[in-house]
Amino acid sequence: MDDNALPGEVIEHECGALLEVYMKDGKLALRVAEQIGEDWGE
Amino acid sequence: MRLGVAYDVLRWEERDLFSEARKLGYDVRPLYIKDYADLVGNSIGENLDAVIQRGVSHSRALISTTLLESQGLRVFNDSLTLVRCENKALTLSLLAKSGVSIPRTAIAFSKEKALEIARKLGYPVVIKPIEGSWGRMVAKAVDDDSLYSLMEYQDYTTLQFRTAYMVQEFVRKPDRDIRIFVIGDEAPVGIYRVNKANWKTNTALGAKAEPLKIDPELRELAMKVKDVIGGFFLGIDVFEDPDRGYVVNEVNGVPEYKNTVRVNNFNVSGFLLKKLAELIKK
Repeated sequence: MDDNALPGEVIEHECGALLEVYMKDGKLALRVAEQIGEDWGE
Repeated sequence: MRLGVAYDVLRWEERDLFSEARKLGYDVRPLYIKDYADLVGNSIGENLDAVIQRGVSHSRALISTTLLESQGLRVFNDSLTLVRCENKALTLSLLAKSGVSIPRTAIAFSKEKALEIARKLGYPVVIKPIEGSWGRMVAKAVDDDSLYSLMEYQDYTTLQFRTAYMVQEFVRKPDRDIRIFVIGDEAPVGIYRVNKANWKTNTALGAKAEPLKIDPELRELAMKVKDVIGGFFLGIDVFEDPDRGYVVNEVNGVPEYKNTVRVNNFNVSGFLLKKLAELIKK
């Protein structure tokens, strides 16, 4: 994870998985990124 | 200015807003709405002059805006504007009522009535979800058979408005449409979205952005749309109809603008932030 990473940032792991940055117990952590939703867009 | 930026997925636009806000000396606070949970009316503990709503999920954007507004915060765009933009039936109804030219659009609540009105509009017609984005599930029906099948597909989605069929005339536009931005009381920039390979001209589907020449008629139209829909920052999609001229197809309440910045060399974030500061000072 970059030093300037922020929650909500999506990162591609070397295995191809998309991970998103989020806050866990006050620290940045990674979890599997959410799929594009039916209500996503502009 | 103390500014919050509410977002759920960090895209180029949100990073650019943070960066430009800091350049202008604003105190900018990222508000990551996906991990937000609080009682309605509870303060988020931030003394903010304004919040820019950038949620990519329509439901999260709308609900987080209402929660922030319940705390007395000014959110741009506000919740009512988001509703007017996200629901295309509402957008087009309001525009039509105000005399803004729109594609001939019908809403039907049964397949039989949808087929009936499609025949009146004349095939091909376009069927699209009442709420949707990025050209998703927008389809061209060439006859009764294909329209009926597309409506059946819609029935088996989880779309909120799946039992309402929105059927539009197929506008014979050139290989492009227009995206013009309203920021505050100006319409300073826009793009043509060109796609020679596909009638759908969403950049999300591969349309190429080109700089837009904004003529006075288009500028006036954009400001009229803003008067009808409300809001502070809008992305308005316009067709060029060979007979009727400019026809407004939809209005976006959380518009993306990376391609607009790239091809116009226009600082959308900076312009937005300065206009917002002017408004807050008033």
